[in-house]
Amino acid sequence: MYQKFPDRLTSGEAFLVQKAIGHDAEAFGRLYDMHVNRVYRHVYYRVGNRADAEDLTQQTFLKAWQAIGRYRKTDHPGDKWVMTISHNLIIDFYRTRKSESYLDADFIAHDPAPGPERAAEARFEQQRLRRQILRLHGNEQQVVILRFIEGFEFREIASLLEKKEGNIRVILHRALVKLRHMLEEGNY
Amino acid sequence: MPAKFEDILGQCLEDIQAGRYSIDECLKMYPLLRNRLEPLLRIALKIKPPADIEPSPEFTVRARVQIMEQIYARRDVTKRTESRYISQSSLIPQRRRFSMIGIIIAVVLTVSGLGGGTAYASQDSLPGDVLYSVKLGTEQVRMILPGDDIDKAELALTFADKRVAEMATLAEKGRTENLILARDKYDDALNTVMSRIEAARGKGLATARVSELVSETTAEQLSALDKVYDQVPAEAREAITKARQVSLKGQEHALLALAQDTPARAAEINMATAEDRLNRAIAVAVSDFEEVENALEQYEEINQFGEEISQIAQGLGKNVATVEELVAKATSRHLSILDEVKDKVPDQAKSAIERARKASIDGLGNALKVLAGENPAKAMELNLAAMEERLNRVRAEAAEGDVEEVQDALQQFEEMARFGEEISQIAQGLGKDVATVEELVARATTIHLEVLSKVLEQVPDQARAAVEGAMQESVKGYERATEALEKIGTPDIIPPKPPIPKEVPVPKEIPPVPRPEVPAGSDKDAEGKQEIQGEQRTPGPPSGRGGRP
Repeated sequence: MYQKFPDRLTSGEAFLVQKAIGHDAEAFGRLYDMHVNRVYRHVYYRVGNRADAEDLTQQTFLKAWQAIGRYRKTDHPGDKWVMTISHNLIIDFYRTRKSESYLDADFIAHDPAPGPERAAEARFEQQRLRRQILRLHGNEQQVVILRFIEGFEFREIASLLEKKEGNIRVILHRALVKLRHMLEEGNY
Repeated sequence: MPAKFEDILGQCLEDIQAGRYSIDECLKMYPLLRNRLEPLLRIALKIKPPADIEPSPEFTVRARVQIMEQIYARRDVTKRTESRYISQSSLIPQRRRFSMIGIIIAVVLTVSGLGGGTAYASQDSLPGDVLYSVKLGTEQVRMILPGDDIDKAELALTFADKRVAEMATLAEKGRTENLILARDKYDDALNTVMSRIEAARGKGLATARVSELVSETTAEQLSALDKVYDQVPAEAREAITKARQVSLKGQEHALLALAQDTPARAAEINMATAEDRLNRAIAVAVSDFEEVENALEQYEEINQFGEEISQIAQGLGKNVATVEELVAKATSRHLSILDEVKDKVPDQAKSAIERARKASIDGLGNALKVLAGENPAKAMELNLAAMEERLNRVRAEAAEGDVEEVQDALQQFEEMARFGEEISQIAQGLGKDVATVEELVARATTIHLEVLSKVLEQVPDQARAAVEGAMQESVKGYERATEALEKIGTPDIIPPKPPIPKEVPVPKEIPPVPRPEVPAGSDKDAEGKQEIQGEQRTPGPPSGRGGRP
């Protein structure tokens, strides 16, 4: 019912992005407040430890501030745009640390409290899946994470990776077949 | 249908994730591909976002401070290149450096719960002061500390209050050049309030209480800003006018949220704000006719917004009669307040009053029509009360010899008579309260005719035509009501028609109606009293003999 209001009061994030483009630091601070959790989750999923997740999350927002002058309304919405930046930073991160493996890191490092048995099983299942996903290569890993962890649409992933939507579906198919084989082989 | 396997897989995933199909339904659509599709779908749908991972509050605050620090530090570098010939010590603006240090100190101290000199001192700062950004910084940190969206909305509302208080202090100190900054920050604060309420609703939290709080608080902020407006010089008034628009938009937004839960309360607050604008117009009527126009414009907007609340109530099927009764009573009262405004203001503001009156009457008419769908007798009773108020105005202005106002009031009276016709039609269409409604009309028109006859004797010649026109309307109303009562077989409750002056052309001769008995008090009132006293003279719902069909 809020769509009736034409002014700033209704614009929320779009309004803040607009102010941040004009180098309003406070508006950018609010965008940080809105998205920091999601960015952190995404990064943590991919790097598997708190220290790197924090470092990359912070870098994501600094990069976003540096690049905000180039943000256009036709780009992805604000949150997706920030996710794109974090995604690229993670790629760089792995590129520069090829020798290090994060696959065995404790995925639920600061799980607040152990739940009932079923919840523990579910977490174990997720941890196992995550390990296999992180063994996928390049675009396959990205497509799986963007689709299932970040909830991007196929067209959004295509736009982000600068590929055709059909190609994204092909990559996803390939990735799922590989995941199936890995899981069947007990490769975890 | 997609031809390639990867497209089928993608389509199935989209459909299942969107809840359009289950896995089994998708597999049934592609029986030949079942063996290939099923394992992949099951693996894909197991992959879930890690909901239990969140950054620590310490990291969230620390990173924010560091990011902001770097942002400000880089701005300083930019400024340095512009000032390359100025001494190094003045390259970095002292104000910015100081404020960043302050922000960091404030953030650290606030997070650690220790308070601190800078953070404490900043709380009295005003827009344009060195420490003002520290003040805002501490507020932003408070917003990221633990709490749900409702807590955050309430917190941001206290910041909005602070911005209004800052505008008042700036005005007192004559620092009007900083008002625009305070106003922008006020807008930001209310924006945050509403974003948090929307987020809370999205999460299924109960938002009625906080929406009501915001609605009431923004009304208070509006009144506080009126005082600021009166204090500042003319060139600074635009900033306050816009700040008041922010208050009103904020209130509308909150009322829309509130109306989803309790439309009646939303309507009540909205009408109170509308009335507050009229009182504002009265307060400045003599001194500032431009502000009268501002207040009346605001009144029109608020009144129009009442329609949206009404529509929400109807859409929800909740509080409909209460909302409409409330609006009808309020708009009728507003017409009387507008009379008072009109009597005080100079001619320049009178067109604004005409528009406001139209808004009131439109609001009244709309409310009565909707109410008639629920409770025709109540709708008619309220309409007749409003008509009698107009007749009181006619009498008063006739005594003053103000022809124009007599004509205006009679025009409003006739418009309300048309609302009455519509209410009658609605009652007949519903087959509900017909006898009650028509008896009310018959009794009221009898009184109206008597009063108008007296007015006709008083008014100057220029106003006679208007009075005669109103009398004709009353006669028609009486005639329609009596016909309806006869038609439904209740002629015994028809009151006798009062004598009509010979010079008033009556469209149709009304036969005298024998009536041995009339509803209690109606005849006596009609004959005995000259002054109609508002709702006291409004015929109440008939009891006993009148009966309902």
